[in-house]
Amino acid sequence: MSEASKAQGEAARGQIKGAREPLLELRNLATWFRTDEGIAKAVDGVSYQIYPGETLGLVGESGSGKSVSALSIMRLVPSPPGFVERGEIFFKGEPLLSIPDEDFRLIRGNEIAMIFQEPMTALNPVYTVGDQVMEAIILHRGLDRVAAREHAIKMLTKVGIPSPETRVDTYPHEMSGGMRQRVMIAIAMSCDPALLIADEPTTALDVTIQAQILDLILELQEQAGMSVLLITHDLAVVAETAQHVAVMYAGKVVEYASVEDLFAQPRHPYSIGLFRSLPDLATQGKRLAAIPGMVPSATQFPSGCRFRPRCSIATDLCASSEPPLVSLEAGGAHTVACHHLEEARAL
Amino acid sequence: MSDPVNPGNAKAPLLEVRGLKKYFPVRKGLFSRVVGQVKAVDGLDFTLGRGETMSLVGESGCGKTTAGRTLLRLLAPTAGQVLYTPDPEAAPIDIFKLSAAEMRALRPDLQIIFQDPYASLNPRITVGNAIAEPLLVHKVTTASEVEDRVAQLLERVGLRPDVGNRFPHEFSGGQRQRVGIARALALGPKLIICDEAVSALDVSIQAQVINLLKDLQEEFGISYIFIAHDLSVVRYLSDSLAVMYLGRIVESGTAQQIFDDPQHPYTRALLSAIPHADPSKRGERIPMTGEIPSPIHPPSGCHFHTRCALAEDRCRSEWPASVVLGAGHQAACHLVQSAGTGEA
Ligand SMILES: Nc1ncnc2c1ncn2[C@@H]1O[C@H](COP(=O)(O)OP(=O)(O)OP(=O)(O)O)[C@@H](O)[C@H]1O
Ligand SMILES: Nc1ncnc2c1ncn2[C@@H]1O[C@H](COP(=O)(O)OP(=O)(O)OP(=O)(O)O)[C@@H](O)[C@H]1O
Ligand code: SF4
Ligand code: SF4
Ligand SMILES: [Mg+2]
Ligand SMILES: [Mg+2]
Repeated sequence: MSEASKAQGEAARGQIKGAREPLLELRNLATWFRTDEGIAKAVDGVSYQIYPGETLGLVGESGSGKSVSALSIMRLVPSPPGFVERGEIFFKGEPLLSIPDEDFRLIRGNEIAMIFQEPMTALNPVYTVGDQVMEAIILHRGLDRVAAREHAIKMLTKVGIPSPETRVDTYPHEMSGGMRQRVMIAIAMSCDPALLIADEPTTALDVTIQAQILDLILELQEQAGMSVLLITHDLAVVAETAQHVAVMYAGKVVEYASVEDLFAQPRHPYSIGLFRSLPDLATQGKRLAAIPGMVPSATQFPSGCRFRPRCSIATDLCASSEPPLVSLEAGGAHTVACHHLEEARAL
Repeated sequence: MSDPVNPGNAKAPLLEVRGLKKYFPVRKGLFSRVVGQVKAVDGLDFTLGRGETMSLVGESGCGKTTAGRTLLRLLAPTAGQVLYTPDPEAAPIDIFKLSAAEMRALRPDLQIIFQDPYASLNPRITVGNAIAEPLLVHKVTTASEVEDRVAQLLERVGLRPDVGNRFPHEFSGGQRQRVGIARALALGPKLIICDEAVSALDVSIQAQVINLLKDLQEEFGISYIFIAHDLSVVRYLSDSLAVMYLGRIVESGTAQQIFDDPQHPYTRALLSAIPHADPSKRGERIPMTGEIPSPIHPPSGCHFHTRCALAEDRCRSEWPASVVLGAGHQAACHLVQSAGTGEA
């Protein structure tokens, strides 16, 4: 991470205090699925904001609804069984959910682009990588094939693919996992999106390749000033890349804060437990403070606070009423959903 | 089996691996002609102490899984020797020299658990029966006692004993991993190879399983060979570690030596790539361009020279011999300086 991008982050945070408009905002979004076991409330009243030029890290246990919230933004939730139950998504101030599908196609892949964990499933095995990079450019930029090919080679160069002039004609299976992820990024970046959604973009990769890909995303972000929604289960990746973090648990955001505030002092009992579970130098040789139990199924969330069965300070109130997400201090950016914040401080 | 580890015996290693090699043939064409070899594991030397954990780390494809499977003879070795000394008072057992029957008798001692135990559990067999099976096959428990023993094992790994009559798909990832551990534990192993055993688990569940592995080690004196790509987990669990690159160990030592004082350029680059869970430490990384080359055509000389910022002429022609840097600390690089008379 360079000094320049640190300074940029600093500047960006300064601007937030001056009440900057978010680029994207989820407001009370609920995306559910009809399943054999009943309704799966995968995303159930989620709000978060992504500011221009910033990265929001979205973390949380497997099945907590991270991907479904992103797919909801992209309108890629399989339907049936999935449907948006309530809530709204604002992009540049416009409500996204009420835009007709034909018009949304001009936004998807153009203003908002997405990359996935497993690039092999997202890339089409029967087309060359060049064809796939060109597709979006031809669709959204109206370039002819010759110009699109030029642009595709430029994009492959930009994401660090060696000998792009020959690589442009190869097929995805001829590339390593790290290269395929670079191709995905080239496709996503080809139309200069305002928002890049990266769903576990490095989870399947080695740390060395992960570092290269994260550096690449940060570098492209700096050049283009785009925003990034980075979904990951790795808190360290968030620490290295994000300005804000939303922690999800069982279909809800339980804590939202600047990366500095969250890492300095997580306030929700689940976030606290998550940090304690990390093996690091401080815990060397000691037992890890694992959170007992496991995540409830999305079809059977417990009443009240969904973390209650695993929370050591739960009370009757936690069983009867669901804690709302509230600011720690009036107007502050750090919000937490817990009835017993004072007690949680002593955890 | 429940004897605490005797620290007095710590000197006699449980396992000593010498020159371990595993090559796979590369076949091509209509008649599957052998056209070359993948040198997946190309001469490993290391020792594993009693009740200790040694980790194998390195990028995807460097040969970690192959090394683990070969040293347990789940794959036929190409070359090398594995000396196993379950009883420190007795002579070591040369694993690759055992007959099939002798090897079978040793199986209970040597277990392996994988990233997704789901793949190794039969979906139509209850987890109770899956755990009972090795007990009955190796006749370590009589049919009348087996139910109690299974219940005991399930409880030991933190599952309710009555879940024994459920099927694998009814379990979460963390629970399935516990079933896999119970199964490996059933026969009272001395060594468990954990191949990415916690990699697929959520942080909070991963911590539960790591704690369980540590408890079992303390209770039963089990040694682990831990294969993982998450280096913070490796640091937390390991007594020693070996860093692999294209089938060879480039640096080995105690966890402290490797993490606090890495000497090989590859180890340094690998460690600097680990993100820190601390936003104030957004650090500079040692740049390492490119990806791990194909083991079918490994680079000449030092395998790492195609990505090493410090490479010089001789790196391209001469394979660097391992240099002793301190007690138990070795690295194979032309640029590292020997500590003179290291007593490794
Ligand atoms: N097509 C579907 N049909 C039914 N349920 C679904 C479907 N897709 C997702 N879900 C459910 O929605 C919930 C949230 O899933 P989601 O993929 O968003 O989790 P996640 O936070 O991204 O987890 P992970 O870290 O494992 O990727 C899960 O309980 C999942 O089972
Ligand atoms: N049965 C096989 N036949 C041919 N080549 C193989 C076979 N098994 C593994 N290899 C090759 O041997 C090398 C080492 O593979 P191995 O699975 O041991 O790596 P690894 O370090 O465990 O990687 P990962 O981190 O991806 O699990 C790779 O190049 C692989 O393609
Ligand atoms: S609301 Fe209650 S159960 Fe939920 S996290 Fe807070 S204290 Fe725990
Ligand atoms: S021997 Fe040469 S190429 Fe290999 S790690 Fe050392 S300096 Fe780098
Ligand atoms: Mg997901
Ligand atoms: Mg492997």
